[in-house]
Amino acid sequence: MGLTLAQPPEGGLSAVGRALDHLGAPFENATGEALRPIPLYRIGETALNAANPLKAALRFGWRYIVRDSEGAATVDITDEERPQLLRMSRGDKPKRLLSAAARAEAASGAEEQEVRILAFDQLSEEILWLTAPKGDRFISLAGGRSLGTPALLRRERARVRGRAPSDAAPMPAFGFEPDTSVS
Amino acid sequence: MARGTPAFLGKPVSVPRAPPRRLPGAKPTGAEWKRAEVLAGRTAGTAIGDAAAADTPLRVVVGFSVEDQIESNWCWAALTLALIKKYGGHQMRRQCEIVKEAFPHLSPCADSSSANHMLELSGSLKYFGMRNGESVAGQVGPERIVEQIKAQQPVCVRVRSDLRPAGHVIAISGYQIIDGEMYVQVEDPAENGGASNTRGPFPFATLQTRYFGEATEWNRTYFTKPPA
Repeated sequence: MGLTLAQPPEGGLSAVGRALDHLGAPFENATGEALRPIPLYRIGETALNAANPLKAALRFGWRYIVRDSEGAATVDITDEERPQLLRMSRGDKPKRLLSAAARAEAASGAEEQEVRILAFDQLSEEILWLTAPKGDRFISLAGGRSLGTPALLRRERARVRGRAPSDAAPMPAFGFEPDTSVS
Repeated sequence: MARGTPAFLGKPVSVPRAPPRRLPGAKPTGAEWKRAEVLAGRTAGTAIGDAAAADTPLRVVVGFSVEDQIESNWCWAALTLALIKKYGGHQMRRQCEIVKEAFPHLSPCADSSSANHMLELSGSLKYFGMRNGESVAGQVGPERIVEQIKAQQPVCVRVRSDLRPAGHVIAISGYQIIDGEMYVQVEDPAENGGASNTRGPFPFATLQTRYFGEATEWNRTYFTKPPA
């Protein structure tokens, strides 16, 4: 069976076209064609310590890869009946996504695996998520490293712990409003 | 793209496009777009008052850009440093130097992770003389943004979502009006990964409600000014 993708919303491709029409100045060469989109998932920090955080993953959008003069650009749309544009990217990120997808396909076997993209929050690195009954696998979009679920969760939990304000955080010299601190 | 494309992504299909549309004024082109990531969102948009509703090219705060935040909690330091570089009046050139001012007993320049602390941006702006009045709880209207960008003063905004409960600060650095709708350009210190930290222009309505993609609250606004 190999790698599969979930069915995108019906109006997804039209939303991509509208996005390119309306805000296409940086993407004016991204005119031609799009590949099948990959669903975007996110897990909140508070869900990370749940027994099975992956079950708490929320699908919030779809990423289309479209052709442009530099090779590829991506267009993200919302996961709604009438999808709306979320984000457009070009440069290294689309290339890294294609590269990780190729790596995932090369490593796939007979078992069916659904391909997704997962992020934990705005600061976390996105990762290609291959779901399968026998165990999920993750492929980094930054370096192509492959991880299993335990290793990924260990990494993310450690990252979030590193972000948490320490109890021992010193009083800053120029004012402190703890309920309105920002990261 | 077709060469070597993974088979599971299917064969490319045509994207339905409308005939080319000519936007008024100069398009934002050139190096600033080369590696820019654009957050867009064809949401309802936000109409701006009649007096300011004429279509405009992208107007930006000149000489203002935000670098990646060095530590995960240093969005406030990255924005403060960007404003210092824009406005002048202080010698700091690294985020750790800003953090050192806030936490004098720590050594953020020697070990940044040991000083990875959140801080309210308002205090930092005030300390460096760049706070332009008290911060405003919640959002401000597009007219205030236009007024500040015309004055070459970035407007900082705090956003949060359920998936990002700690809050995060970004800066509005430009605006454009198309068909009477307001679009904004944003500098985001967390928008890393080798790309530019400039996002947009995207609809003002996106910033108001869904900056992170999911429901997002814009819950505080900080006006800035050059230090006296």
